[in-house]
Amino acid sequence: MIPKMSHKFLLIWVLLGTVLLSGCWDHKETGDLALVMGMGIDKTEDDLYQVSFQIVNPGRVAGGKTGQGQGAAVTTYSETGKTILETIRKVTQKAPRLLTFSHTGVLIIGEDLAAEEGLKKIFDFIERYHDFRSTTLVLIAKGGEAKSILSILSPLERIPAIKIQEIIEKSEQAWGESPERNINDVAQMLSGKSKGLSLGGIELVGDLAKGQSSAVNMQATPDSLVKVNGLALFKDGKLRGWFEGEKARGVAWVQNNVNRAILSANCNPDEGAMAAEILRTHTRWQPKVVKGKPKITLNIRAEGQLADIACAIDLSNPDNMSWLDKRFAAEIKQEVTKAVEAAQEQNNDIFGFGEAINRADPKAWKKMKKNWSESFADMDFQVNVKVFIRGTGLRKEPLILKKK
Amino acid sequence: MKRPKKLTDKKSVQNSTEKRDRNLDQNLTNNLNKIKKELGNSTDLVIREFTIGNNPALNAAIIYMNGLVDEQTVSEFVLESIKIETPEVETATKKGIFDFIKTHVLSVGKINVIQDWDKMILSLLSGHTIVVVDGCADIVTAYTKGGESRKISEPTSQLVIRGPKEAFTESIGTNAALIRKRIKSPNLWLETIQIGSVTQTDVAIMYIKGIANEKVLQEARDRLKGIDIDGILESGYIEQLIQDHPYSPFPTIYNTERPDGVVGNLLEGRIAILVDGTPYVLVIPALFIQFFQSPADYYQHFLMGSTLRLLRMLCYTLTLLTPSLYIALTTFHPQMVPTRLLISFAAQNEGVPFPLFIEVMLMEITFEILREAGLRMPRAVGQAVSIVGGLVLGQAAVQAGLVSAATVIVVAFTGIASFAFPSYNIGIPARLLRFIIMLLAGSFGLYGVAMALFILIAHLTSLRSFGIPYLSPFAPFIWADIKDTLVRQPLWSMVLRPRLVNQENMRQQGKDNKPTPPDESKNN
Repeated sequence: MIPKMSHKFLLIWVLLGTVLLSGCWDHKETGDLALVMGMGIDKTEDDLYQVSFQIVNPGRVAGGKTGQGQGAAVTTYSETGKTILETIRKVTQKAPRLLTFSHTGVLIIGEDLAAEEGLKKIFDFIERYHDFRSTTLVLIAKGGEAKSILSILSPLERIPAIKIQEIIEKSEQAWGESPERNINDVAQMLSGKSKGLSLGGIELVGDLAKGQSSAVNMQATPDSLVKVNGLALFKDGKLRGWFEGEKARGVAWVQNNVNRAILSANCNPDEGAMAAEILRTHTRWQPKVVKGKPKITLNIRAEGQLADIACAIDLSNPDNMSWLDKRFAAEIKQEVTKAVEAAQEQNNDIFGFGEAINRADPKAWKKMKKNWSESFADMDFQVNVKVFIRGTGLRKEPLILKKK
Repeated sequence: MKRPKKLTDKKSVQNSTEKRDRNLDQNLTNNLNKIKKELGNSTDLVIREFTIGNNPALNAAIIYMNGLVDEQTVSEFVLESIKIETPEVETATKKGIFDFIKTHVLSVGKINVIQDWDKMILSLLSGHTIVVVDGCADIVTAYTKGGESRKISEPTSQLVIRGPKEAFTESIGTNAALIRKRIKSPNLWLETIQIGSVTQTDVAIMYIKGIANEKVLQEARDRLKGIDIDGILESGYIEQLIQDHPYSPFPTIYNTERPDGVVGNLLEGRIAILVDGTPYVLVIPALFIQFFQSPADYYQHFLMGSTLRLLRMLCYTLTLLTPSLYIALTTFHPQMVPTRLLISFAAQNEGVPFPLFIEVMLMEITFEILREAGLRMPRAVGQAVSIVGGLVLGQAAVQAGLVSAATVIVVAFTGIASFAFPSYNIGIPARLLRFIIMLLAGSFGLYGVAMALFILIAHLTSLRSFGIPYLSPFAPFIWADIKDTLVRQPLWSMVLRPRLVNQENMRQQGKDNKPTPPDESKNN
């Protein structure tokens, strides 16, 4: 017992003790962390998971200090195991640092794994594990392995995983074909009622071996690169097919995922093309059940401006402007119709119409629930598109228009 | 009020040295010998003996301390006048001559008649000239205070761009005059007492009767009277002996070297304590927010004044928290740092041999050393120290890979931010506490930082300055006083004085001071 120590000092000692003895249990120096920027999951032939981790080499990335920019900015480790966690821990045999997933930008899933085993088993772990961020983007490696996608180095952006992230963000904003879906979205859709799901695809263009060398950064036209392309369609967590081009964007229109997009159309079947930049768009669903049959009306409203026109139309005439509106509206309607019809052919409600019907008429939904795929396949839909071309850019008349 | 016991002992020792006669002797020679003896024949004691007029019986002497008096005043208005020969002198009695000197001869503004020995000694040591006439037990003191003192110069620690450039000096008389010059009101009252059993330092309480809070005033008087110490060298002594919370690092008494700052505070109902021998005047009661207010805030546009105040508060937070947040975020919560920034941190830390906490601690201590060395070193070597400090310790340490560049930036930023307060002494708690918060951040991460802030705010809320809650008007919240805190409202909208400090005479200006265009219809 400490003799004659006042309570105050005793308190101070106790507090000091808690600070000094408990000692930094959660403390990790940045030098001990391996920041996993991208993670890929494939299935090997002997039914094991092959997990690849793209880890950043900080010294090679950061600017400022000269002479450090040499060599690859990332290292990709991969490891096989029965479970994903097993592979994460096995990597410590190769990597000198602790894998950290809090900054992981993309999660890429191999096409084979997605088609055969589906997403449900791996997403159980991904949702359960504390270190993953729910904002990590999820992509499907189209026609290949996730590992090879993660092995490609990239020009412009030293960290390939960040590059993929940026591509998705930029192209969703400017082009609107590939959706930006993160772990949270996927987990929600997997547990949703419609059982359908669509995810962006990513593919390798060019030669794998060449893309793995940092020499690829020195070429003006890289031999190999990764490209975001297509929309992977899932049913019940398993990959069922791909949409590309117009159909892929049709899905985005339906799901109100288009921020900005370029719409191209022909003035007349044999005349020049024109394009409009859509700046603001909104899709509203009106689900209802008519005589026990589900029906959905999609109201799409888009605003934008004319960007490019190669046919002789007098734009100073208001009638011609409203003709433009209709022409572009027809274009959107066609994309949407194609996408919905294609989904119906596959009996796959990737849009989540089921959820909407459930909310609109829960009683009717209870009856349809069991055979929803079939009900979806022959459900009625109607597409109403309104396009408003608000401006014609910096000029009014098309250059090729000859005024009399 | 707690006082160290030693000092009380000292006083009792001094009191018991000699049992003295409390009054003056009638005999001049006795008196003079006694004074000489009491002052230990100090060589700066000047005694000039003479006879008045031609009457050899009328012996007299003037006594003063060399250097404390204005020599010219003494010779012209005391010595010269007394030696004038007039018919009255020839025939006068000793008592008569004393009255004559008192009423007719001394042409100095302020004179006193004293019988008390101790008072006489105190006057002598305060720079008065003493006239002693043989055969009288009374003496006359003439106010001839003078001697060398520093001229009024520009403030050195509380600079403003726009505003008066005068600062207080070491002389309490000059300081009081500087304030009175700005408040031409009979209600500006000044009470002086001597504190310090040996130094007998003049300490004055200054306030505006009718605006100052009487309760605070009485409390200040009581606390000052309770001081029992041998010497007061600076107002810091008074501050430490009368403050409410002697263990708190936060100052609960404001100090300033700007007369305009004191005047502003007096008008708000606060009380100034002037101490002889220092250019720093104390102001009570002090609120936390007051230390972030500069007199210049009121002189410039209210938008600028408000912005600068917000900036200072931001700087305070940054001084307190930047290093700890840096440690906590990078080593405990890397997930909270944006990806690219984290990679940049990680890249810079590559090859640095110390854990981040040690690294930041080392640099912070280095910075404090530089700061202290910069303050203490002779001016002539200033250049050398700044080169060694800035270049060698900063740049070379980074290039050698001993510390990361980010750490140097964080430390430098913290250092710069810590100079952005108009009051030097509010920076001190931030300087000290940031090390404790860093320690907590290094052990517990953000949890530690949050705990530290929690305790800090609890502590601040518990503080009081002369009965006024330190965090007011935020805690307790007083809406009417918010107008002059984090931001400063336009001058014309601040009609009332701060409510908590001042309880009577609330109105400080008219209600329609807002400048408006002239009413055209009236003129036409």
